[in-house]
Amino acid sequence: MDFSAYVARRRPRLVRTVVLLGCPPADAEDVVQAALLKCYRSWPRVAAADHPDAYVHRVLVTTLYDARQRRWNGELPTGELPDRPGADPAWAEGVAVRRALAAMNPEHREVLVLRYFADLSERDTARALGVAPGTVKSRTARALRALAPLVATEETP
Amino acid sequence: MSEEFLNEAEARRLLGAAAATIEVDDPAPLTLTGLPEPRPHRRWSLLVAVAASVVLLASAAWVVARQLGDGKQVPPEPAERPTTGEHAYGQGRVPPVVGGSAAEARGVLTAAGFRVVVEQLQSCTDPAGIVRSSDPTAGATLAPAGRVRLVVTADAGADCPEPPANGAVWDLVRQARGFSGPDVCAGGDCDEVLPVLAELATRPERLEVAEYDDADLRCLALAQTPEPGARRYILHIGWQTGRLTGVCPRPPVVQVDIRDGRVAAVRVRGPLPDAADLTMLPDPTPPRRATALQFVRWARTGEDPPAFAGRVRNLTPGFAVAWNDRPTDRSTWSGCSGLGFPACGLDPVAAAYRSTGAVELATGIPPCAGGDRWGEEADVVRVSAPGFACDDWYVLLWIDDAGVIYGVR
Repeated sequence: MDFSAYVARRRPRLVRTVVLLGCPPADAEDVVQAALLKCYRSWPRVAAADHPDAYVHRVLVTTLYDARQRRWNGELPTGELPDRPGADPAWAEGVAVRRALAAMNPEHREVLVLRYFADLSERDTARALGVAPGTVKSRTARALRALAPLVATEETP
Repeated sequence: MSEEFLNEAEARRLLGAAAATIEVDDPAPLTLTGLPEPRPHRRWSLLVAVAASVVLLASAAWVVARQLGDGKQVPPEPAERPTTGEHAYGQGRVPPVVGGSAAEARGVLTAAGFRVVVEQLQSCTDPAGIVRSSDPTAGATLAPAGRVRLVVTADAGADCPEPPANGAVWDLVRQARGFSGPDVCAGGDCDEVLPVLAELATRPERLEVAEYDDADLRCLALAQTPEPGARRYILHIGWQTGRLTGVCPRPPVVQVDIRDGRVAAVRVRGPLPDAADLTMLPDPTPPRRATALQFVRWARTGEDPPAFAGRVRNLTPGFAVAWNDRPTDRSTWSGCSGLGFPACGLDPVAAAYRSTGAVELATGIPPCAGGDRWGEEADVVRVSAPGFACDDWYVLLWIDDAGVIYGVR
């Protein structure tokens, strides 16, 4: 796939992915741009691979953590979550999930976001995170268990 | 949501709902203007530098220029002209000269004991007679009487459709560096911008100037449209060379809007540079130099590995293996992410293997490098081609006092 086409199609999703992973929204575009630039340099090999998404997410995660070390240390600032007037229930639920993710162990958050938002397979998630597939499996199970009560709490304040 | 274990479909739905609360601007149309298609072994930075009418700088210590004089009276500096934040380099290092005239640069470099070679580059966008780049770049170590190649802009004459568009940008850079020229700062934000510009311009990296049009401005820090009729230029460190639509320069950047040949607005975007990142460390010690050079020989030939610790920390981004227990086996360094991309450019041994010719050694992690700040920075030997730039290949080796490599990136 052509790099431009890939970016055009995936960039918004990649931005959302890094925000869900804990990147402040103001920095998310920057992190994605930096990651895409790294990928651009190796694009022929990336595009020819069986799982370009796995590679891109691997670079994305690395870039995110580099940026985190250099620029900000905290987790997702929940105080900055967007409020939308009018009590849109879908919006409220989304914000509740983001709060839940922010409160979660980062390892759990990573697997949830990569598996169920970025739609990576277990194997590709393992590649992206640099861990064994079995680790992804066990973390996912624990993360799903961890998310349920957090979301439930948010829904019934 | 009362069950204790979410199923996968529900997890997907919830994550989707969370993502829907994150607003993302639609990307600009992604045409990679002026860029070649990426090729595995190509130094596209050089191509981009030409294609995107990018200009670099990193200018000269104006104090030295003044002391030198070259026979002319230098006008007194306005008292309010800020000059703090510049980087000055000691003996044996290339002083920053970009932004100066050829004569100013020649004076500074000759005084520092270097020889100067000038190449002319015809340009329709830059005013004539300005040093756009030096090779090696500012701060690089160079032997006495070593040669510094300057690229100086030249008038392209009748081939150009209009007068140089970014003359005012260069005037601003020259003002920031204290070179002679018109005062183009109208006060206000300029007071903040000039010292930052001087700081950026004297870093041991490439400062670049690129014109951005409306379509490019959707990227992070630059989303504010310039005033009607103004052209927007971005000055930034050449961590990524040139202009790539949809991919923004790394902050901090200096944003300059030019209207009718004058600076209409100027602003710093992004966090200010951290001067602590730029402390110059002493040159690598002889044992470290010897080990680093042996590493390059070994990477290129496979013979006579350098001294490695039993376990070597692998800090290369994308690596799944944090520690390498068989460092003398070159294959253990390949395949940057474990995803089946051998020699993917993130591989330190492959980087040295693919390089040819002489290498340059320096101490410390380049300020433009992301990744882990691990170990003692004074132990880090940066191996690169001469005239290091961040978007070229380089390898970082953590080498202890005895010349043993204990970390690689």
